[in-house]
Amino acid sequence: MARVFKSGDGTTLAMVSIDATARTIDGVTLVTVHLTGDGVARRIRLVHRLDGPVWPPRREGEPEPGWDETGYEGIVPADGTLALGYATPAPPDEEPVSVEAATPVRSDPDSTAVDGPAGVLQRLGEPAPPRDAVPLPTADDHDLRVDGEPDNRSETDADVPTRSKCDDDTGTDGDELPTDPVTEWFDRVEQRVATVERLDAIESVPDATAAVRSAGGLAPARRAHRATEADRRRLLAVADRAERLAARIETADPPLATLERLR
Amino acid sequence: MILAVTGGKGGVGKSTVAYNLAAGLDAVVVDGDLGMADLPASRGPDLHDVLADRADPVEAVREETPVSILPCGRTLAGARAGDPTALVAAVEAVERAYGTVVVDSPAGLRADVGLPLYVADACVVVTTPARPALTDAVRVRELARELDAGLVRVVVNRVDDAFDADSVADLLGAPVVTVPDDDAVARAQATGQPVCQSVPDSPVCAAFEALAGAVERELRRQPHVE
Repeated sequence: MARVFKSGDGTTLAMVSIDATARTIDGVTLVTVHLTGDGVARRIRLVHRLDGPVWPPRREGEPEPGWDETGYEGIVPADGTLALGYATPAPPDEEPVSVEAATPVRSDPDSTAVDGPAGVLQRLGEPAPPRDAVPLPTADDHDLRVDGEPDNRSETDADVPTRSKCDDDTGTDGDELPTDPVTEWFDRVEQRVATVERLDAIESVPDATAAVRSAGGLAPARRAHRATEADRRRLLAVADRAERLAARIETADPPLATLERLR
Repeated sequence: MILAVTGGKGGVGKSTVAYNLAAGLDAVVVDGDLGMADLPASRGPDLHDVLADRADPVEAVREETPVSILPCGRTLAGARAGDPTALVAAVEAVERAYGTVVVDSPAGLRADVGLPLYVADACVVVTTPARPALTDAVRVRELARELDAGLVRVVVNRVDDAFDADSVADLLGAPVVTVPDDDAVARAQATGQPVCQSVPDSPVCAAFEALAGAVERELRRQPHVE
């Protein structure tokens, strides 16, 4: 299927020809697009028209430059073809994409300028180590802090349910916290869970846009989701330890009355 | 003033240069190596906590060390948990509180190298005379240019007598400061001492003093730097 896109009122000579196909494999629709220039380099906005989210190509976990949740923005070279491909769970259609803007661009180096810290992240890739590189905490990890520094305390002085980094009393002064760190930690986890639940409740594209916007963008939403994975593991570890401690309390029955008599 | 110390290649002495430069500028050094921190750390909140929104960046700065430092956590889980882009606001907050910040960058060319360059007013590129290190220095210089962090000085670390500083200055397009190869540097770094504190009359101390002086002169001239 090849169509010619005409910019403006369609009467100008400014044209980018578009050739798009969509096919479904195992429930995923793959869209391929070829945009061919007309002798002038043009900045185009490719709009995804199928009823479902765009799954853009990614590098280092971040969408490739130019892609966002609604489509792609980039430059069709003057005398060449821009080939694009992406996936979507939406069923295919005759016209999977359309071109909305095709303004001529000068070959200015500023077009590569990054857009804020998120732009730096998108362009250079997520620096976090891969998930598989991170050891999983186990229920036997007495120290539930994220940094996992060795816990040298003996069992007898382990009377604090959990320590956050902020309540270390051996570090700096001024570490006093207004509320107890366990409650604070639960509150923060709750906030992240609420964010992920909002994203989970999405049923339509406008919902999705609003939820992603309220999460601060797609990358923060992804990070919130990733953080809740770690939260879940930590919560289960806390629950496990809490249960074991409670069980020990139940089984321990010190003969206090006898001890009293021995004094 | 925010200064990024970067270099592309690992093991060329970025952290050593960052620490000693911060000492010379009376700055706070931020250990921006999220995955493999190597500046001294102590107990308390660190950069991982700051990026995960668990701690305030200014409160995480340690002042009891010879050079004030915002240390970084040392675990992979911590490196994965935070928002790397939050580094920008964190470094700016430390700058507002302390005036001058030196960010020690990791090796590589990923966002954890780009973000310090993005937030910095200028950068110092560290290399050794070895060819692979110089090649990576050229790459990171290009990234710095793109992210608008002017290159103030190239530090060529562990230099012996036969080194040709002019060719490196030509290659990277900035004046060169050479740091002689001296075991005293590693010994000082291992104990958390700035070189000029442990061996004050040494050529290595003179080199770091020259670097700090050059950075002061160049950056204080810039109109947007207070």
